[in-house]
Amino acid sequence: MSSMNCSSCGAPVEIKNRFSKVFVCGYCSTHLKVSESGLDIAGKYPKLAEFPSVFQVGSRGTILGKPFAALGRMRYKYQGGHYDEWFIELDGENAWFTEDEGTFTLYTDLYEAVDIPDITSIKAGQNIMVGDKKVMVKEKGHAVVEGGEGELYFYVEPGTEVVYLDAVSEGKKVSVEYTENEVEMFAGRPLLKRDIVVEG
Amino acid sequence: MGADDKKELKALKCAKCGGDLVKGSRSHYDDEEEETVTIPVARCIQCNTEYDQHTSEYYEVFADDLTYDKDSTVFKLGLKGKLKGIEYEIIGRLRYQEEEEYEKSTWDEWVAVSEDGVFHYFVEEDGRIDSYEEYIPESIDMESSGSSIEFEGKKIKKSEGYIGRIVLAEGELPWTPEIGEATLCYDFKKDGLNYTIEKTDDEVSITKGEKLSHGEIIDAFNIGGYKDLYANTLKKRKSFRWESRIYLAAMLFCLILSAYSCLGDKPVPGVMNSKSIFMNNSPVNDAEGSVYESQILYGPFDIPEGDKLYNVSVQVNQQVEPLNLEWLSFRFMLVGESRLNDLSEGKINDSALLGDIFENIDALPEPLESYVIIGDFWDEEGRDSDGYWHESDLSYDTDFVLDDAGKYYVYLELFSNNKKDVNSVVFAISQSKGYRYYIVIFFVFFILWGVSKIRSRSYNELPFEMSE
Repeated sequence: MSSMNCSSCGAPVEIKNRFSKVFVCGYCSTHLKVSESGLDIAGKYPKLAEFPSVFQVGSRGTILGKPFAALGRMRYKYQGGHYDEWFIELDGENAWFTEDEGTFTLYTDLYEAVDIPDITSIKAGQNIMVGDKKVMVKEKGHAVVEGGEGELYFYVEPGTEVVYLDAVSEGKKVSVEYTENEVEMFAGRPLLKRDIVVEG
Repeated sequence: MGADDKKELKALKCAKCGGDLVKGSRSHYDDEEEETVTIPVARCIQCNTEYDQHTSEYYEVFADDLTYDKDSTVFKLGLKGKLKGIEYEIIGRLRYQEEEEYEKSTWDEWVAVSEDGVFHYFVEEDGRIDSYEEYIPESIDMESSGSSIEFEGKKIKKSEGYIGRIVLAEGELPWTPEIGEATLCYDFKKDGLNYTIEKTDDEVSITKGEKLSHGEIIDAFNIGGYKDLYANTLKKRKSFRWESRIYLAAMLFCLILSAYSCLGDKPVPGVMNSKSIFMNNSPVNDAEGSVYESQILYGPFDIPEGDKLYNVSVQVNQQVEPLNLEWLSFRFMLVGESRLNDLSEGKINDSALLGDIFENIDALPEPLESYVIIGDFWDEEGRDSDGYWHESDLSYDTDFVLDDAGKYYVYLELFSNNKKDVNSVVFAISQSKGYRYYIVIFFVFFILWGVSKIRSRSYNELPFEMSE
């Protein structure tokens, strides 16, 4: 945990996770890139609209009986609406939690910079190798980054289009996200609302 | 904007010329049916382009034919309830039509959202309800094999897939469907559970489900108006089930009685023990030419009981003289000894007098016989489009009820196109236990059983279809 000040408005900034790459100032909504030298302004964007959500930045509680803390979220807009990808600490480990139209998925396994086939040729129902894992693509879609809030493990500038794949592999839900610069794969499981207990 | 509004706004226009589309039909020769069949198609009134059931336009045009009963369902949008401890709200509905069917063959997928934040699907088809939710398989491979899908070690033949087309969309749905949108579906069972894989161009959906009763749904969603109707329907069906069981038992009882009766036929002894031959192959000229006539009187013999069912069989004894490409007609008369005695004024042993009586039997003012059979035996051959054929009919049997017991004679009159040995036609009389009556009663019970069985499944006071 380290304490700094927002490079834009001077508000106090407290980084709780050492892996966080971007912090969104809660006062002025400036996106601040976390570097060894301090906080660099990446841009200033509007605050995210408030939609009903199980979490807020700073929420604590348990997921599947394990303690968690919600650190921040990225919001994506797609044809069916929007979804939030929460960066959380779960039992001391990094994890990601997506909230999509009232459905929840917990991703605990992250595979960064994986090698996968050309996204344009991939279709629903196709098998692809992601790293050493064989996954079956359930859906391919496009989304646009709307913005962020709190601490972010990944950072994609608002307005950037991402291609995502929803897939399954070895009994797990798999999500693959493509941006211009990298490809990440998450593996996890769906959650029921009752699996999530938020304190307060 | 709801999906339903979108459907309303979509104009039914020809993709080629923009003309209006209307319902039409097309006739063609079907190789499988081996006849000309007429199928419905959507047709452009301007350029005459046809849209069959493999196109979205077809479903736009025929949607009303496939959704006229959309309100005959147990579910309604907005229903809230608690099923197996979880709260659900019905938020949307899709109706699909099977693409390969010209007749209406639809099912509804009701989309519900649970308090747990999970989309849930209640599928209502042919009066059956299944509850489905997303499933993540341990392994699935839809493309490695051209002919099958591997699903957790189970092979599902791709040929078992069928295409469903959306014909109705209403409420809130996780995506924006289009009327006519196609989904390839595979339904299968594994370890006693139902699974469905639905594949569109953009998405694969895998769900696992189980059957639910209408009672569970009515209770869960507290659909009060249907509770009594459901209870009455179940009660009536149960009563029909019991009826069908009773009829089944009655059928079995009839079968047992019938089998017992078949084994219990009692032959009347000595019916052919003595005979008098009045005429033996005498040539007779009739309108069709010359035939041979024989007259034989058999008896007397005892018929042991009156007012009973008897069976008589008359047949050609092929061992005595085969019937070979010829015909033989017979008249069989059962004559009571007392009647013959009256007619012969007590001279029943006068063979010449009896011969005269039977010679003129058809001129008697009152019938002499107690029972009569007239029949033909024949043996023929020929050729037709299937080639050579050879057929014959060499026996005849029937049941009759004889009122009085006593001594009887059988008068047998034979006509043939060739001379025939009078011993070549034999007969037997037996007292029957009446198995045929039991068979008739069996079929009556069978029909009653069938009706009860059908009603035990189909009786319904509810305003929607409900299977067992």
